[in-house]
Amino acid sequence: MLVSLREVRAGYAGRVAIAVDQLDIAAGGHTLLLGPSGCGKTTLLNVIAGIAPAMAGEVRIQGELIGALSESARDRFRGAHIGFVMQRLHLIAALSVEGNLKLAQTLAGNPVDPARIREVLASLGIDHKLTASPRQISQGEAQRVAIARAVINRPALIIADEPTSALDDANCEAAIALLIKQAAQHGATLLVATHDPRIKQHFPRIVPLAGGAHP
Amino acid sequence: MKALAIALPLAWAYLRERVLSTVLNIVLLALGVGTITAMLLVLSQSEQRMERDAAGIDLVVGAKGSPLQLILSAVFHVDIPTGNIPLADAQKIAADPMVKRAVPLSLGDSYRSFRLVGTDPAFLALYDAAPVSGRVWGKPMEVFIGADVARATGLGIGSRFAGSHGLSAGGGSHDATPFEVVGIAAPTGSVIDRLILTSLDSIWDVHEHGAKPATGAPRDAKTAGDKHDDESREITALFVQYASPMAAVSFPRRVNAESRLQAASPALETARLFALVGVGVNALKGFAAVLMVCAGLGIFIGLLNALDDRRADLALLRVLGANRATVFLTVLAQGFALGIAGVILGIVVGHAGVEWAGRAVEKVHRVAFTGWSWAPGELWVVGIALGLSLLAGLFPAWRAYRQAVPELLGRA
Repeated sequence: MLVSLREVRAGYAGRVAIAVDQLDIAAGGHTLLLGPSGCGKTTLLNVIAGIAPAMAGEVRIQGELIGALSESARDRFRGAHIGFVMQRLHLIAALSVEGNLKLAQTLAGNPVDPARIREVLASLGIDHKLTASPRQISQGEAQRVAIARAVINRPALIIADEPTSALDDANCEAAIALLIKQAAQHGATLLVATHDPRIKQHFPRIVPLAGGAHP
Repeated sequence: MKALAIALPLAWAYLRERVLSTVLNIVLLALGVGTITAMLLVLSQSEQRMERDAAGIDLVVGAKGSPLQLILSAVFHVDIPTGNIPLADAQKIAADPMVKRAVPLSLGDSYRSFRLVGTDPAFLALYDAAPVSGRVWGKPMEVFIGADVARATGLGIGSRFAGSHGLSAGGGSHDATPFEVVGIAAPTGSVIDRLILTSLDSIWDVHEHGAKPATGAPRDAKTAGDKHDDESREITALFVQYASPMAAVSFPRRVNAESRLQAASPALETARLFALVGVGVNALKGFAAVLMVCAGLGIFIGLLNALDDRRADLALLRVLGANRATVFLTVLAQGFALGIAGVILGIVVGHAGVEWAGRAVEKVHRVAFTGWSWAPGELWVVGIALGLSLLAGLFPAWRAYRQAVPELLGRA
């Protein structure tokens, strides 16, 4: 299994926001975590990615027990093996598009590879924005740069948190199609958490979340 | 190393993003560093020059008046003399067993603002001066000129010129008694570079040929061709080198007991001068220190505000795999980079300012300051300024270090 959760309890300030008894995601098996706002989707993604510790239970990614790693080892692991697409795109405005992707490569412990950056941007149709500032590109282009950043290090797992919730129908469809295509192209497994039911049809596996205990 | 490789370019990008605030912080710090640097340069060069010019002179004997004025006029040649003393009195002092060496000085005339000094060849030994061309004066009306004098006036071996009354340009000219240049001194870096040296007889002769002595000129010069014996002649000052350090205890007191004479110690008077000047210098240094602290506060406030504005970036960095140390260094590096830029600019401004002002001062006062040297305290200024910038970045960096990613993501 690429991702494996056992008896996971996650929350904050001593309160359990979400509980997952068992969840296994095989490599290549794109999965949608679907649930209403506030049900703990982001909290669960944070625990899977090692951003926040689980209150209880075990999270394994590629067999690595995330909770057993030190904080800096979790940071390194996340940088090297997990790509992120967040609800708000969070590109660093002080850096160019290329700078944002170089930063992701460096943080993952990879050498800066300009050819790889151009290749990924080209596959997303935005290679002409290489030197542009995030302030100079459209929302749609920023979305593509965020996807490029998620796949640039060829991660085993791409986690997307509400990637389409701020988009209209047309853009929502385009963004999720692009994300799935890129994940497949770069050999990554996609784990998306959303409350947006419009993207359900793109996922062979849907895990409903409602807060509290889950299968 | 990886943390630095990430933090430094990112810090640079952040500073570039806020150009105005970055430039203002750098300029503020540079003003503080530059002001203190300039102060240190001027002070250290003044001290060095005074030390060099007064080396080998234990005591200066001159006419009663301000001892500081006596030192400034006779040793440093930047003030007017307190008056003259009888040559006979000077000869008596020179013959004292407590005196190892005595060098007489006669002032009062100048040429294009360079002072004409009547003295004897022992004066050259005080400054290790030797001819670079020609020779030292021998006969009356022969002069030996300093390197700066030669450069500024264009006088060369064989050149003839008439001195003028007084110590600045504009006095009446001694056209009837021209001097002839017989030698040029090699540069010594001391006051001798700016002097025109001749024999005591030359000075007496000039004033015994009809011209009225200028203020401060030897007053015994008779204008009607009457007798000129040593009894009636005067000089301006006498440099004294003690035969033994013990002389410092009683000799000045003995000289001061004479009604017409005063003894002044160059070491004591220059220390007194620096104590007097030091009040103003310290005030300026204090002002510059306030500027530096303000710059540090500016950096602190700027970084703290930027931290709030960049929560999303911090969150993103952590999500992408940056550890706490990288985030800490990214913030700290911004403060430090501002410090480095401010220090470099400040050092450049301080040195360039002294060089520029030094050239302007040299034209008027014949005293040069240069920006092409280092003052001993400059490393301290650099260290303090860099320390301040690090300190300014420390708290914002620590705050960034402490923040948990979910919290940052929640606020981003």
